[in-house]
Amino acid sequence: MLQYVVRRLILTLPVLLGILLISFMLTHISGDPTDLILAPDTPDEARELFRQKHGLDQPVWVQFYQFCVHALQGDFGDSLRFNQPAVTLVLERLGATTELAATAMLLAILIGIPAGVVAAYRRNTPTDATVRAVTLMGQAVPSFYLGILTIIIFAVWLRWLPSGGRGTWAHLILPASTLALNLVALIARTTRSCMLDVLNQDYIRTARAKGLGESWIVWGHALRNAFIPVLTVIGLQVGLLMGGVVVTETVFSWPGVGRLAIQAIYARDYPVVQAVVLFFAVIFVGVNLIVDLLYAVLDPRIGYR
Amino acid sequence: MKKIIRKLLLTSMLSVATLAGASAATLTVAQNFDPQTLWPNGTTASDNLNAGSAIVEALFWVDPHGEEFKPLLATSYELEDPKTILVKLRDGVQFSNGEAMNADAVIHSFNIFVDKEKSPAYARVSDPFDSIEKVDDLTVRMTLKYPFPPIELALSQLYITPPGYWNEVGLEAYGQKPIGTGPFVFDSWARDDRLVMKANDKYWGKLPEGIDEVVWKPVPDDIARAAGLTTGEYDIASNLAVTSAMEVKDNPEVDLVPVPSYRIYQIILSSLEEHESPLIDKKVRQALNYAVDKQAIIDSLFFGNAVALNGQVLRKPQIGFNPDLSDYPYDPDKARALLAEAGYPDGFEITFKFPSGRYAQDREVSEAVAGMLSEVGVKADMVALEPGEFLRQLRAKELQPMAFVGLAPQDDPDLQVAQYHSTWRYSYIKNAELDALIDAGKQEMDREKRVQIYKDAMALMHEEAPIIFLYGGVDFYGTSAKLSNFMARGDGRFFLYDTALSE
Amino acid sequence: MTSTTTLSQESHDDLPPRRSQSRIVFARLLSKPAAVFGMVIVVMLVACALVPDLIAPHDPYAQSLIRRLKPPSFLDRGVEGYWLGTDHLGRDTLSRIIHGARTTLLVSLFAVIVSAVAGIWAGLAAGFFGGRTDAVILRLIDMQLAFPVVLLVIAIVAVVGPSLTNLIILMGLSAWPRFARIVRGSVLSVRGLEYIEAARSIGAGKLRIMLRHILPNILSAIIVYASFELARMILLEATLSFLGLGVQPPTPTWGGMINDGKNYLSISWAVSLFPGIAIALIILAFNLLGDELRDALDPQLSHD
Repeated sequence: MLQYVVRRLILTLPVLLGILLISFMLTHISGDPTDLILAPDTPDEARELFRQKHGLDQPVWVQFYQFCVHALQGDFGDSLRFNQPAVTLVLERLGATTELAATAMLLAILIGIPAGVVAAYRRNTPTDATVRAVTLMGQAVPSFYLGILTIIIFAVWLRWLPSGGRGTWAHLILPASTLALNLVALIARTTRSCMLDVLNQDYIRTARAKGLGESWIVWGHALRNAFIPVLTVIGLQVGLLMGGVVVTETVFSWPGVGRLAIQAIYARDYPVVQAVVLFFAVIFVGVNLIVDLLYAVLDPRIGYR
Repeated sequence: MKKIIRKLLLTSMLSVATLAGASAATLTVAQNFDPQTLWPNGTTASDNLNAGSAIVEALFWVDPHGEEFKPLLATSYELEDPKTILVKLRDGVQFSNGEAMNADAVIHSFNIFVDKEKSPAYARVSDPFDSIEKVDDLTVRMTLKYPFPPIELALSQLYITPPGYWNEVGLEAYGQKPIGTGPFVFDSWARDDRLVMKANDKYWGKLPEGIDEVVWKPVPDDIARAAGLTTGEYDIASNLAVTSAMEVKDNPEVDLVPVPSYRIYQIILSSLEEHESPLIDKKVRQALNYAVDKQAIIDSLFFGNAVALNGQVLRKPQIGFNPDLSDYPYDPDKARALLAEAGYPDGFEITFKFPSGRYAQDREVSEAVAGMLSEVGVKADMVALEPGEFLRQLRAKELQPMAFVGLAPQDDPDLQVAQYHSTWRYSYIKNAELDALIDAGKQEMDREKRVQIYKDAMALMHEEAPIIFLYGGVDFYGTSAKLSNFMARGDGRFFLYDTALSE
Repeated sequence: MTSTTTLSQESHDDLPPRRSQSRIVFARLLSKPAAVFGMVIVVMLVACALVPDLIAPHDPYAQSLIRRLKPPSFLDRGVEGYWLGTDHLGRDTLSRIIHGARTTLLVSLFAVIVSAVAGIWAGLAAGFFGGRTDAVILRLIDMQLAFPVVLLVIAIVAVVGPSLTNLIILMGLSAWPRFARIVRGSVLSVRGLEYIEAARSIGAGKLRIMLRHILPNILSAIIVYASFELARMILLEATLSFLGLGVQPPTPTWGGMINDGKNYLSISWAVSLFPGIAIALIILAFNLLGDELRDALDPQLSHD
């Protein structure tokens, strides 16, 4: 098991390195941050000093070399806008994003899996159709629009919930549900189809023949087996979740990494963008590693090869 | 299950209520962005300055009420000659850490202000300053490299920091936890979430009434900012969208404060030879001015909340505003006639660049203008630019032949018109006569003569039509009805000095 | 992923001739109300995309600042002939939705094609050749999945300019790994099967085996997946519009219309609501169709 984990970790190294390389190239071809950070009427002398200070006057390959040397030591440089280490800026906001993303994921799983199970069990009945239509609607509305609608309805009209920001758990409800709704449909649909597969398997028939209770068969037996592919899908959605966080955090003024990322991208704040991209990648890779490890727990037939 | 949901909702309502209740003496301000630094000379972004200058004060300030130049940490200044300024400082002022605000503190702050590496954002106004000397503990003498007519503007941007604390922590840390002389002192800051300041009980002047605490919150989404204002979560919401403003207007719990902005919206019509296009012909540029119905844009897209330019880039209260000029009337027939005269009876096709998401309603205005131009046969191929790329192209002189921009230099006619000087990095016009007028105005210390120079420059620009004169913007602030005497400046700056929060 | 597990279990030793299979599938679809509903919506979309001028009551670009922000004609203040009201520039919302169908469909369809083609080749190569090729492609997949799409789009659009083609390619590139994964999984599951071995033993080239023997067998999985992906692309275009990176105005797309209209929610809700409904309907349709298609293609499930 340990050997497997080590091997997987070694395999992720080229991925992370590749991501660093691509993000460096992308940020550097997207324009000089000097234009965005200093007012357009700033005299050339001051601009040049700014560029020197941040090493922007160096040839790109020198910048890349410097970047790699420092990045290997965990130093992504100082943010061009905040004059603070980019890593610090990301770490400061990681808690907020984790809180939001984890709540959303939990919410999506708690709604999506039971919905999928029910839809599969009651396949081709009105229940099935309703469950599918309702969960799909969550995926059918762009999340920025959904977010704004919920603010107007629940904060402005009904005055039930705060319109944005982070604080009490009441602040968490709207952004987490907005983020979750996009995932519910996918999880529900995956669960449904995996359950359909499993419900047709011989061992389920055997279980029925043995006279096991129907609800035990569905929720215990079948779901346990259907859960593995569902887990994979959930793992892969972490990437999308990170993308969703960008929009949701902006709409709900949530002080997280996603909002930092989008503002850094717009300002061409290279060090911050690179740090965020790497963090997202690490989270993505980490979650998917955990998913693979969970496989073994859920299904002893899968070995570590 | 239902019961639980109801319970949850009830508790959440309670928590919202308690939040609102506890804010009796707390002023909550929602701006677009979290400050990057609270050291005001660190950036020129208004969101940073509004928060930072509640703690750190300048020598002078321009009061948004009546845009009057007023003393702050200085009591007066005197021009000994066009290149020498004597500044008298306020007696008995202390920084909140006990350091004295005196000539030494001003000299320390001056030296950072003029250092283009430390304060690059202020290089444009700090450039004229040469040196400073201490006359006595409360008097300093500043020397200029050349006469600089907008000297008051420069003096209002020199922020005074305590030398002891500054030297101890350094520039970066100072911006994260500043100490100043202002009405508020730094308390805590959770990034991108809330920045908390407490009233400075040792403040030298009069504290804003009824405000024990100020909380600054960054709320990037326009609709969310307006929503929080409506629900009473925020007492001040800056930079409201015009649509939100129209909604807030009818709400008795919220006051709408419209402030004419210094930003001048225009369509660049490049007449530079290297940017080959029909726009090189003056008649074509004038025709396009006739073809655009500015008033319709103001009345409809802005619900009347934008300011007509009167065919010039200086605003009515500015010196040099030319009262004899007025907007090109909306006259599509005349536009077509001029186009025909210039040899384009059937119009032409032209690239039209515009930013998407940089200015209020940028996309809408650009689409409306393109629609109006098509009426006279000019087909505009629209190219939307991401705001960052837009700014890059502006500076690189790539926003040609035609582009929508909103230029907001500082509040001075020279800083305003210098952008149309042929040597300016992003000038899209090259006119020797205009250059001469701009050069003359830059050095003229006599107010009367200065006025005339800029009036002439405006008349010339009107005739040459290097841009389509569109409109001046209006910034909207929403404030809780409990807050009184709030006012902001056209550059997005506001101060809490004379405001009062009632129960 | 999902569809892989479902579909790769098809038994391949007794494949019926393809044409009759597709007829059976179609017949099965027609017997499902959800599938019929999906098909009707898709047919309407395609009709709008093909001949918008015949269907739309007005010119979608005709502005009138006097007639702006009008509610639907069936409400108070509505203007006769403007059934779904007008937008912030006085353009007819219904006509823009109808014309927007073309761009919306064009962008999402081609983006899916780009990602499917790229993903299929990568997946085929990875699954078929295995070894080092497989490892490299898997790493590329991980990289792409872990990389924020928005950053990719901003950076590249800034350099190459925001044209329709560029947008299609970029959106397509963001989705290829999901196709590649499906294809790779399917290839792995059929690679060892008898008929592939047989083809190999009679000396068929690798390319030939991939194209003639493997691809047809996984095509249904790809089609099903593509129908989901199409829906996702429509949403991605909407999100890019929200970030100011979508299709150029004045060309209408549904996502762009929602984004423009959301600013007017408090004044005129209709501007963003109707394109929102259009998007919701079409995504619902694509997803239902995908679900039903999968069920119809899966012989195991057809028994009950």
